[in-house]
Amino acid sequence: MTLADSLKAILPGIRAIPGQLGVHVHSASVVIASTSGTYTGDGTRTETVTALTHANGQNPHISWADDKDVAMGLVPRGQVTIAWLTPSDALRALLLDDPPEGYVRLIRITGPRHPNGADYRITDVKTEKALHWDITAEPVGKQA
Amino acid sequence: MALESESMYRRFGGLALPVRGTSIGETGLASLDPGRDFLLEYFAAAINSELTEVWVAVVGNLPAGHPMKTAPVRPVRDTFPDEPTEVALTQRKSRFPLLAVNRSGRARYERQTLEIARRVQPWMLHYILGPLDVIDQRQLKDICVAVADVVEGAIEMRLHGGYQSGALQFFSDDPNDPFRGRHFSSIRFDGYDGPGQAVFGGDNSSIVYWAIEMQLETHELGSYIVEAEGDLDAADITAGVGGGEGLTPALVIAATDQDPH
Repeated sequence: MTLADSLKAILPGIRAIPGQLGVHVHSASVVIASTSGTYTGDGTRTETVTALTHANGQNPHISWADDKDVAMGLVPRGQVTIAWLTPSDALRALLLDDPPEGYVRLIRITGPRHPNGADYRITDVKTEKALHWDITAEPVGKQA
Repeated sequence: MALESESMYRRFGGLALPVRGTSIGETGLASLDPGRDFLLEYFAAAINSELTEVWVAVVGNLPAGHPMKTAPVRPVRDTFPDEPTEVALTQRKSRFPLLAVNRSGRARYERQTLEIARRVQPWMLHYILGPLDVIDQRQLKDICVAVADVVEGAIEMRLHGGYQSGALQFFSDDPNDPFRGRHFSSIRFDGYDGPGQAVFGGDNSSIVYWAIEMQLETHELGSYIVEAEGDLDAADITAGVGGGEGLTPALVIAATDQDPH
């Protein structure tokens, strides 16, 4: 067992502290959507929603692109980052494993900025760090 | 009912007005454009019919675990009835090679005759192989030009034995004809760009999604739905004749046997 493995066992509890203090006010979920018809979008829509949480169901750190970075052209407006997720096999399967052909994978964020939930498409999943993964996503579709 | 009394009773391409909510199936408003889904199915069937055997032979020689070896092994593994943009393909799991079709560019409305309108529509047909290393490029990339040749042949022949048992697909005048190609009065293969980077890859991407972008052009006709017109019971006709020098009014007066008044 490596040091990273030992730390990963306790990190979810540490990372849950801001949520317990009430400062992580937005929640994020991975939505895997499928439709029953021939092409994506045909027929009845079925969603599997899996929340991205730290220990005790606390929200992760979610931040939007800074106005200055947007003005500088460094990032597109509306880009969101869900950061400091503790790596695990379950998280890898959720974010990186291929869903079946035609299925749609989105990030849904709910909170003061999006009271009814808003959908984002994943543009990158940074996995180079052993102790945390970050997701970047851009707005698409339902925005409320 | 209000719709029947207000409608124009006009057909244009695959759209026949009035259109009722009950005619919309699981495809939603995509059913207002049946020609697009038809083109995708027809060309996918023709390409898979003609090129699956050679594709399987080549893919069989690729290393174990190569993405192209995932079933089904055929030159068109996935289809997408819209423009394959980055926004769409980062949401939807797609398999490659992918065939996609969309109306593209500027459509023009013209007169076919005084009575019949015509829409001239450019289309883009995208065949996307996916990322290839330099060995895969040599082994697989030339399928792109073969795909373009198959599409051109499928258009020129108006049918393909691998689709609906070789039934004629285009240019029927019968609105009840089950073949959806009837919506096009003309279809032309304009040419292609590539093989090169697919449109969604962008100029600055370091990953080249090898693709060929084929341009088509169709004509779709618009006309009144004659069956919607009632019988003419009676008419009272008064015609004047004239030209630039003046008009002689009521030179011809006629009436049907049945009094229109």
